[in-house]
Amino acid sequence: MELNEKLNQDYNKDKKIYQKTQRLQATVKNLEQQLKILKREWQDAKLKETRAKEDGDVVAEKEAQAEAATKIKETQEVQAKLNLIREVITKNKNKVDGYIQELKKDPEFEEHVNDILEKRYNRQLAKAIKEQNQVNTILDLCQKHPTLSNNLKGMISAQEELDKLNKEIETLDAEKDKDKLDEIKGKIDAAFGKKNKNMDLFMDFCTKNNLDIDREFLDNLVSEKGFAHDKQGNIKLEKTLKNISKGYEKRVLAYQVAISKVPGAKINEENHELLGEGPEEPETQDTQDTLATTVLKKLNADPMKHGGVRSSQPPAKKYKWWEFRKRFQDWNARRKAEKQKTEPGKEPEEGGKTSSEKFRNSYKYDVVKDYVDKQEQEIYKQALKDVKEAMKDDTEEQR
Amino acid sequence: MEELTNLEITNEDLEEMTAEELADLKIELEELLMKCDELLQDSDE
Repeated sequence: MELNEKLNQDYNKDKKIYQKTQRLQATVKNLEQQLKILKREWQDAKLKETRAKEDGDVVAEKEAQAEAATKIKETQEVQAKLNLIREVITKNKNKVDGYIQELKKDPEFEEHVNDILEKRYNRQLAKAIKEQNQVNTILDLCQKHPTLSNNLKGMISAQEELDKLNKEIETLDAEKDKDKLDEIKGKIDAAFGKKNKNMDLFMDFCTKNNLDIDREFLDNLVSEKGFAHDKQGNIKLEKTLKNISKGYEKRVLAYQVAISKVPGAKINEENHELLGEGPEEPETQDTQDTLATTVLKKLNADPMKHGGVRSSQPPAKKYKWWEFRKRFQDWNARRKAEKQKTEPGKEPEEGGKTSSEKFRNSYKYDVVKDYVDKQEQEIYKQALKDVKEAMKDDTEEQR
Repeated sequence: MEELTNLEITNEDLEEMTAEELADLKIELEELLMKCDELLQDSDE
């Protein structure tokens, strides 16, 4: 499956649509960076204003106010550009949706596209949940370990320094400002060194404690997200991380809504587990978001159909070992019966499809079927092992 | 910013695409929209 997608990606690069979408993405990324820098510069100006006020320096205070006002104006200009780009993206999306709707008049195409959308949305949902979990873990670590909190602040301030220096370099001439350039490059090296040292310390702790934090994700978090500062210029770590987590929560809900809108699509097993067994969320304001409430109500109406909510669920019923064995045997027999019913290339009966059957039908590659068969064998082996352990526990209890 | 009309998708562009590519493109554009909305909201705060 991954090889097929990689081939598709390479093939896509020649197509005009791919190039247009890449350019849109690059423009949005560029505007994102501009907004991040402007926000930081505005915060610096406000800090200068506060300090000038405390010092009674009226001139410096007025300069700082003027600088802050300029940054707000520049931010509004970037926002206007972003709105224009957003319009183009919306137009493109509506065009694609309309085109897909037309093609869906063919039931075979509709089924095929719905299968693909289900799979893709589930993948994006899993990615969003895992990233949110990482943010929550980082927040939790920073709240419990001041050293780690300082490491993260060290990375963020180093990154802010890098952004400032890179912006300064753009205004310099390679020949005329050679000395200045060398000086800035030295500062850039120092800032990189500080960022990497703090990241190494943070990651060392995570590795030693088997925490699921990806270094690349941490780097992106520090590089791309602008962290808020208070009036004294201190980084508001907890507040920003909580906001980032909230942003992911919206994405997770958006993907669940998207899956619910695809006819016949379901949230897959992996996402069921991720939604039900994620780490505790940090304390957040009670969200009265009506969309979230509506979606969650809809999703919780049929817990077998969609993923559950991260909030408390009743503990799973504990079965005796002989009940577990019987349940497993029933499950395995049902699974074998379904496998025999559905042959490759043949459409399954209405309402009887599982996501793994759709997966096979969609791709029709032997290597995929072999992989899925191997997974089933692994599941069966693990289940037998669990039964034996349950039997052993039960025997020990009875003693 | 480059001429924005050059970045608009046409019917001819769409006709070249397979079902998988259309689905991928749909999701990519939705994510890009979400990103824009997040940036606009964050920059207002």
